[in-house]
Amino acid sequence: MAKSDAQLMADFQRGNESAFAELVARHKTPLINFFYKLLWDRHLAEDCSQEVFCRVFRHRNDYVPSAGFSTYLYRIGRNLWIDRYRAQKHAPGTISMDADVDDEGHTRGEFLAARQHDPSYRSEVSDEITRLKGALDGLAPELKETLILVKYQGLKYNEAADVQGIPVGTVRSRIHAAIEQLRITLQIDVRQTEDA
Amino acid sequence: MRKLSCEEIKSLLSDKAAGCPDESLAGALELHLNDCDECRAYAAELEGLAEGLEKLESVEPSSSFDMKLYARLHGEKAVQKATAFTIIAAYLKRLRHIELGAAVYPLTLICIAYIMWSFISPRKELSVEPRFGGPHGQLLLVYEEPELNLIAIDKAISQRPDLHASVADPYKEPLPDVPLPAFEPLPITTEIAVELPPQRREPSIDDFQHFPEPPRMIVPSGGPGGTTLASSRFSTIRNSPSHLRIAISQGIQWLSRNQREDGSWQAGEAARAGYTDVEITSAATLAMMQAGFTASGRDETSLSVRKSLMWLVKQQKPDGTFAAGPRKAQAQAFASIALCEGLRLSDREILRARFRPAIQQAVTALLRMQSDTGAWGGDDPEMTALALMATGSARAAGLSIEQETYDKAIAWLDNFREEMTSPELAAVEPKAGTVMKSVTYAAIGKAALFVDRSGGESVQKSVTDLVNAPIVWESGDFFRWYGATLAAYRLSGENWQNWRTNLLVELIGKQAGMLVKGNTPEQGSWPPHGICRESGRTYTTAMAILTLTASCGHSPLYGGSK
Repeated sequence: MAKSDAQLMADFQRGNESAFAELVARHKTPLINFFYKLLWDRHLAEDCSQEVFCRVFRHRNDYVPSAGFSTYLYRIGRNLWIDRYRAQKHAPGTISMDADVDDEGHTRGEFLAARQHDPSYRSEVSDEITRLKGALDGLAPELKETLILVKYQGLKYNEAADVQGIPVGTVRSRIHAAIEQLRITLQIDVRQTEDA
Repeated sequence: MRKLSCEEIKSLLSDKAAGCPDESLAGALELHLNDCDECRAYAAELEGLAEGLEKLESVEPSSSFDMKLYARLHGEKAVQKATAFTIIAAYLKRLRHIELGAAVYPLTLICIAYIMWSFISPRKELSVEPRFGGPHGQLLLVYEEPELNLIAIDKAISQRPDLHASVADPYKEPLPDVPLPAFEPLPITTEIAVELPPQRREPSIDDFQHFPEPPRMIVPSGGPGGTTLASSRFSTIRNSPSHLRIAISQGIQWLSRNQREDGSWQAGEAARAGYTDVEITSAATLAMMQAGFTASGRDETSLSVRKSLMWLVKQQKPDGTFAAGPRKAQAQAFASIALCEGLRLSDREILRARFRPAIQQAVTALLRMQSDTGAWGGDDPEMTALALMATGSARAAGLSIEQETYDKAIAWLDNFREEMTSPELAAVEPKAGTVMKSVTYAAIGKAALFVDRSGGESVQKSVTDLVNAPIVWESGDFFRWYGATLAAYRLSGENWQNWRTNLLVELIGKQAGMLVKGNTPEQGSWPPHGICRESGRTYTTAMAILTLTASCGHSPLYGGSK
């Protein structure tokens, strides 16, 4: 029977490095994809994932089994992303859905619609995947991060709350906001495509 | 049941789109959607959105991910050690007791310096690696430095005439004349063949105290009990280029390290794709056997083969089958081949007596899985070819199989080939057409192994097309590469060398950890990816070893003999 993540970490804390290798093998793909969806850059995603594993390796004794290992891993990953990239506003679109975008009182929906008309943005807009990526990138970082953790990494709301250090209710409302924003963005996009 | 408002419904639908549906309210949700057009439209939108979000691509780790990670970790360890000793040295400087300090301080510094040097400088340790079965008492010392001190080695050899050591010409085996991958080149190796006196099985460190320390020492499994087939297998591999031997041996080592105590290999996450422990264990066992280890050998790896075969026998159910699930036919075929070959390559009657009844039941169950069309696996050409390989093994092990079994299967494969290579299909679905064609060619090539050695014109053409197709590493088509290698060696003639060269460069170049100093847990294995992305590392490693050993030219399996 395969050992659980907690058992492997316990072995690793006792000095068994092959237990660490087993954890890497189990979690590297989802972790890389977590960063990939945040950054859309495979090399950066792998670099960040390696840094996360290095941090796990260095601070192995900080892990307590009461927290799931996945949760622990994503917490480190999220902190790394915040330190490195969120501060640089790597992910665009930090504007709240309800806020006015400019002094003339245009809303976010109108802002998004206007962006769809921008030729430099619409260069590959006929590609559905590109539209989806663009819509995802248009989310506020905290919404995007929450959606990725829940939708793609398969975390439950309470696990995502643990990773982000926020209440479960906040996770839920972020998910709802993210879904709603994506729905509107993609609706506008479809309308623009049909009108074009 | 409480009625939910539209706002609440929209929240639930968002939860569902994000992959976290609230099952306790599923009934209330459905009830509301039946009556509310607006929410129903909203649900349809979110369903489309969720489907769209599923389409965003995921990526697989690159093949160098682990290598880079462990290189980072090794670098950090060295820094940590240096830092630790620096701190100790600084502390010792503060010793106030002058007499003690005068006596102890310089001595302590010398000790610290020595410890730092011994930890931080790479230490060459003599690592002993078990190798392929074969004549006992032979071993190879492998040096990788281009500027080797041959004078020192000659002197060491002269001091131990009982070892019958000799230096191989380092440039005797040329590297393949193809562009190498754009990283560290394959090492040129110098090998010293050493034969121990007949009464000794294992080398001791005393034998080599006069030799310059080699980074690797290869110890063939040795010991009486291997069959002539296995011994000839060893000598065939041993006469192959050193980088090929090293790749095979590292792969076998990885398999050995990952074998469970009960003799099996675990499917692990590959079980999600239907792979069973039986199929994975059988593939790994076959890889070891094709490398020359047998159930009757006396070395550790041969013991692994024996344990795994015994484990397989224990997994058999009363009806002769081994596994259930979507890949039960594959598991049946692989297990049958492993047991048949285990019997054929073993000269110990007590083992053969254990295998025979299991083989009879296993092959009978496999034949029952053949459909009326003559194919196996729901009319799958690869599965049909695999089943034919199993029946070939069974026949070589002494079981009689009705000719009709082969005739039906080959007739089906021939018809399948004509249908699937139609230009009309290729025009509509070019990618699918190409994959099907290559699968079909591999199937025919494999079938040609033992049914029709000459191949006939149509099979010859198929195999020629097969070996002329490029080997695309990203396809991860490990099973096809193996089948193609078997077929190409048997039937391809001049195209064989092209296939073999391209194959060796791709497979050897992509073996985990081979171009990095130091050990990693995955060293010696091949990563699952592409078509085999769900098959697990044991399966891809076993297939790669089977492919590389088959590329040495002589396959004792499936009734083959030189």
